[in-house]
Amino acid sequence: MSESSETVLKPELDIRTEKDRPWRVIVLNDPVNLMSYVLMVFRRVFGFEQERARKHMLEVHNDGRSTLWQGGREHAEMYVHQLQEWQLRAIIEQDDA
Amino acid sequence: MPDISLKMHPGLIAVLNDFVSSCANSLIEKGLAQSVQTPEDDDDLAETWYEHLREAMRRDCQQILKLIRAPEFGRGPVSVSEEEMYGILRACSAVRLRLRETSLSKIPDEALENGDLSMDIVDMDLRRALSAYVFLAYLQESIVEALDGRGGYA
Repeated sequence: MSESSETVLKPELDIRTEKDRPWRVIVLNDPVNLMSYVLMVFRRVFGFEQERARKHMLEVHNDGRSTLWQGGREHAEMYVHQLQEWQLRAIIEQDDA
Repeated sequence: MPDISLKMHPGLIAVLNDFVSSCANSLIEKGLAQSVQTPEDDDDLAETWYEHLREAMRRDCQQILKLIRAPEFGRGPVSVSEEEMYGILRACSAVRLRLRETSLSKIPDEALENGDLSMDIVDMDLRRALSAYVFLAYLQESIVEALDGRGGYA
């Protein structure tokens, strides 16, 4: 490295465009739907194994919400629609920048 | 074909026919069991989204009406297809959600969620609504357990 000049290291910029940020499928808790029913729905809609479905079900129950899936918007909307058909409180949210 | 087999007191059958039919019919007529998030930036898509949910819920509510109106209901086995079974499951949720909004609105959410429900309630309408609510939970859980036993999730 030269003594007479300083090398400035520019930080790498990672700007994700609006389109690139993934969408999350989130299920919110409600006081009506049974835990066994919610677990069944998760397995049916997402194809989860029992333990994974149970983990998400308990997150919904204990934390009030759980992120079940993330990815492209259209796919996320398809999942949310299915979950709403099963009478679960499901929403999509886009990841923060 | 799967069978749903229940033996019930005629009084309970009457309660179910009353409250469950009333809720299911009101859901068939209009609205959804709960408010839903629809696509925000596309009105046409939001409308289609909503109408698809309405149509699906109508079909499901018709399944549960068909079940509770079957002459054998509460007295012996009622045969249903697997698809009808899933429709009944979803309808149980929809009707319970509607009951919560209407007849059971005075009961705190925590009591409903924890099952901390006392039947020592003076108001007869409230007792009947609660009976319907609890019964539908029992029906749902029984069907889920039966499907679980058959590996019927996929």
